[in-house]
Amino acid sequence: MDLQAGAPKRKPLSGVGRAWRLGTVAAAAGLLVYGSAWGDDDLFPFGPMSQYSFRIDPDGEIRALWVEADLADGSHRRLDISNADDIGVARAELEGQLDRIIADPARLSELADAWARLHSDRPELRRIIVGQDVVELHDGREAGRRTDVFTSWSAVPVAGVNDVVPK
Amino acid sequence: MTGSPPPGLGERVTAWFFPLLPNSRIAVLRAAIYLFVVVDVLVMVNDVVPKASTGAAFYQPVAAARLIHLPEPHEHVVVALRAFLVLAALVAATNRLPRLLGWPIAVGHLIWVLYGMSYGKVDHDHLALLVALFVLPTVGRSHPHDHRADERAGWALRCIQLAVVCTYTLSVWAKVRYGGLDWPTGATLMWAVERRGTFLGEHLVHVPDLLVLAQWVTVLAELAAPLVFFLKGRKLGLAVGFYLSFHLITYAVISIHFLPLVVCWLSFAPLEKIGAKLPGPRVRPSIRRQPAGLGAPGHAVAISGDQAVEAVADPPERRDA
Repeated sequence: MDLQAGAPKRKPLSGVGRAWRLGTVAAAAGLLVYGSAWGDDDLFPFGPMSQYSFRIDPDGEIRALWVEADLADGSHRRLDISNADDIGVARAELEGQLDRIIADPARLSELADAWARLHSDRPELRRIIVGQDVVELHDGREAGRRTDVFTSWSAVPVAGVNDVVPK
Repeated sequence: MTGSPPPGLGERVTAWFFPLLPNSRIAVLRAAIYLFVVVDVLVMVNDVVPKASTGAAFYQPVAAARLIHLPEPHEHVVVALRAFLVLAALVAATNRLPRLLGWPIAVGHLIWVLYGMSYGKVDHDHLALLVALFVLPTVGRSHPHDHRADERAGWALRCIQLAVVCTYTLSVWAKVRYGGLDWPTGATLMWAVERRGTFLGEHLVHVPDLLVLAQWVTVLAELAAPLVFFLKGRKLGLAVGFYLSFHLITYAVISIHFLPLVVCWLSFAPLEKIGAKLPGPRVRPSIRRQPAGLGAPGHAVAISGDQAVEAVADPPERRDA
C-alpha cells in the first residue's frame, strides 16, 4: 500500500493483533463455504444464500395459498396472510402445515380464535376456506388460471367443501 | 511505491486485509450502522416480541441458538433486550464507549436475530450487518476528525466489504445448488411477481422474456460483485450505484428490500469526507475537499477500499491509548 512516508498513522497492529484478525476471517470464510456447500438455513448466519435460489419450471405451475372467510356480519373477505397480523400466522407457516389442515380442517378454528383475539372489535369469522390460486405456465407465459379449493371449516355445521368457490 | 522492490505475496495479502484507511471513516460508519440497528430491531426484524408472546409452539431454534443453549424467548426478556439494543445503539452511534457498548450490542443483536430466524423462516440479508457489528468494537476509538491512517479501521472495513460481496457471490452458488445451472431460464421471478408482486411487478407477467433477462442480469451481477475490489473512485461509485439500483428495482417489483445489506455498502464510501464536515474540534486542514466529490488527481485521499490515505491531520490529542 502506498502510504505516504511520514503520514500520521495510528499505532500499528501487533503481530498478535494481526494474527487473530486474519484467523477470524479464515474461520468465518470456512463456515460460509461449508454452509454454502453442505449447510441449510439452520446454519444461520452461515447458511447458503438461498433466497429465490429454487427454479420454477417455465412449463410448470405457480401456486399461491389463500385463506378466505365469511364474517359474522355476512361479508366475505380474503384474509391477509402476507404477515401474521390478521390471523396470527403467515403464508409460510400455513403452507408448511397445509397437509395437516386438509387432514383435520377443524384446525382452522385456531385461525378464527386468533382473529377474535387480535381483532376483538371486528365481526368474527364464521367460516374459513383454504385454497390455492394456480397459474399454469407454458413456455414461461401464463397459459391458464384455476382455483383449487382444499378445505373449509364452519363455526356452525353447513354443507360440504365446494359449495363456495370464491372469485 | 516506485523504486522499492515489489512486495512478496504474503505481504500483499496482509496489506490487502489491513488497508490503511482513515479512522474517521469508521466514526461515520458507526453512526450509520448503529442507527440502522434501531431500524432493524424496530422495523426489519420486528416480530420477535409477538412471536415470543405466542409461546413456544412455533419456536424451532437454529443451530447457533442450540449451540449456545439460548433459552426459549420469553416476552419480558425480549422486550428488555429490545429496549437495551435501541438505547445502547443510539448512544453508540455517537462514537461513545465503542467497546463497552459495541460488544454487548453485537451479542445482543445476534441473539435478537437468532430469535427472529428461529420460527421456520430465515432472512438472508443480515450477514454483512452482523459482521459489521462484530468488527466495529475491534477498532476501538474513532473520531470524525481523526483522519490518521488506521490498520484497525482498515481491517474492519475490509471485513464488512467482504461480507457484502460474499452475500451476492454465495447466492449464485446457492442458485446452482438448489435451482441448477439453468436457474436463469426458469420462471422464478414470475413466481415471485405472481405471489408478492407490486403494482409495478404485476405488469411484468405479460413480458416473461424481460423476467428471464432480469434473471440473467441478476446472476451476472451477483457473480461480478467481487470486481468492486478492483475499482476505485468514480468507477467504484458507479458500481455501488448499480447494486443499489438493483435493490431499488427489486423492491419496486417484488417488495424485497435487503436493507441490512444495502446499509453495509457504505463501507465502500469515502465517509471521512462527511466526518470532516461535522462540527467539532477542527484541526488544521482536516481532509481535502474536492468539488467533484469522488477522486481528483494529485490528492491521495481515501476513496475506495483499496486506496491508501494520506492522512493530513494530527488530532489535538492521541486518542488511542
